[in-house]
Amino acid sequence: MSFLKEKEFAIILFVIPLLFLLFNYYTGIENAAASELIGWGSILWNFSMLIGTYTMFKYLATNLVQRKKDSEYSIILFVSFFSYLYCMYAYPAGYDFILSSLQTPLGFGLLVSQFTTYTLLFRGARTRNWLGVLLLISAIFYALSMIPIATRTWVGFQIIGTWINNVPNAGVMRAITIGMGVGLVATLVRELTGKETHYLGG
Amino acid sequence: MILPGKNLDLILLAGICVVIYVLMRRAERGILPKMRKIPLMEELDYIVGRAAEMGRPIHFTTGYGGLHDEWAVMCVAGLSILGKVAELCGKYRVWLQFTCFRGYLVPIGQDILKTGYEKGGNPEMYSDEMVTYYGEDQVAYIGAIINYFETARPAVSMIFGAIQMEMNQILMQSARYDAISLAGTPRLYYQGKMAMMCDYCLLGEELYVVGASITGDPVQLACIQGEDWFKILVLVFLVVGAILTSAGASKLFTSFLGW
Repeated sequence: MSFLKEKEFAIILFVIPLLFLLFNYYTGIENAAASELIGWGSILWNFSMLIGTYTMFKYLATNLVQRKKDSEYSIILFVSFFSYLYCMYAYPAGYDFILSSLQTPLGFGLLVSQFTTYTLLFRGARTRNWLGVLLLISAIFYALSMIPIATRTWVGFQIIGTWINNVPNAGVMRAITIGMGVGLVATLVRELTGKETHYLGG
Repeated sequence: MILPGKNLDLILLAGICVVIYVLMRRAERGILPKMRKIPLMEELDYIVGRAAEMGRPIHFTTGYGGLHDEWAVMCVAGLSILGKVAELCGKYRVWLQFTCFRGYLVPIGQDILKTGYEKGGNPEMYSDEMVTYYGEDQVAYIGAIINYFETARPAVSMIFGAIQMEMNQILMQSARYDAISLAGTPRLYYQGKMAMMCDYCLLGEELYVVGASITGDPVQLACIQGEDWFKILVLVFLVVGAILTSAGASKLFTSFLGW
């Protein structure tokens, strides 16, 4: 049993499927098994949600028992969670009501506040050097190129904005994509050799 | 046996793996690569010190991405930085709040913070409450962070990892409460916003570099060196491709890439 608690066991569990998936990618052999293995990832992810839910409930229950500050919100969360769960299985009409009349509008409410965020990008921009100024000017041109009224005012907004998007922006995006890909390979090597153990904590 | 069109792909992957492995072994023997200084790394000590002087907490999050998806490498780099920040917070007796989006990051985050506070010399400061999780709904996650900023008013806000839409809201809250904002992600669509709105930011791969340098881990440092060698190779391919295409031999180059 003690072996199961060792980090080496978790690393072996990770490395073997990884090598198998690489083998499948390059040879095309055992496609069905590879698809099944990828599906296991989703199953494991769902289990990870259970860990998070358990931790959250433990924290909120402790708050309630110890009557900490704002612990009344813990009651609201417990009631909401169990009502939602009950409605999902026993009262579908109530579930639909919560989803379409409460949760979705609340979510949209927050998303609408994105307007504030995007305007803050201009208001809160900290342009302390010429590169920052250049970036801000580029952002303004690009934003204006997407607005019909601006393009009707001066056609140059659209030409410059499109050029910014297609030339410098595309170049930088490719460079960053290459960097990300190489970073992934480096992490792969660390994981294959058992040097990367962050996902095991510590 | 190898599928057509994947030969060069496999050779490059195997090549870079061997190069990185050799460099890792060299680094473990003490031959470390030199890294250029990144302002954020230089200032981190002072930034945490400022939070201590103000008596306000530090907020940290690794963003939407986790360890199970294609952004895992960014999350790992973010967790490396979290470890160092936790150590500094332990040293200066600052409360570090880590909000995580993924359930499995809760025990990992708790472990990292606990170790960090121990290293910092104040293990008694650590509390399980330093790691919070609000379910895996992005809107709920953003709402919770906004609320945290409203109530706790952190002096410093840090977002390192695979960031998505939440970055907008977190940076907005940082600006509203005059918190020093630090962010870093290699994700494409957030480079511009981050560059404009942060006090210190890590553009592109700087996140990986800082993640490696901050821990001083020879393995990670060697990986950065290996990545640089591979990027030089990619540049060579680009130049050769441009020359061959200009010379009218683009088919030769395309067939080589598709080998």
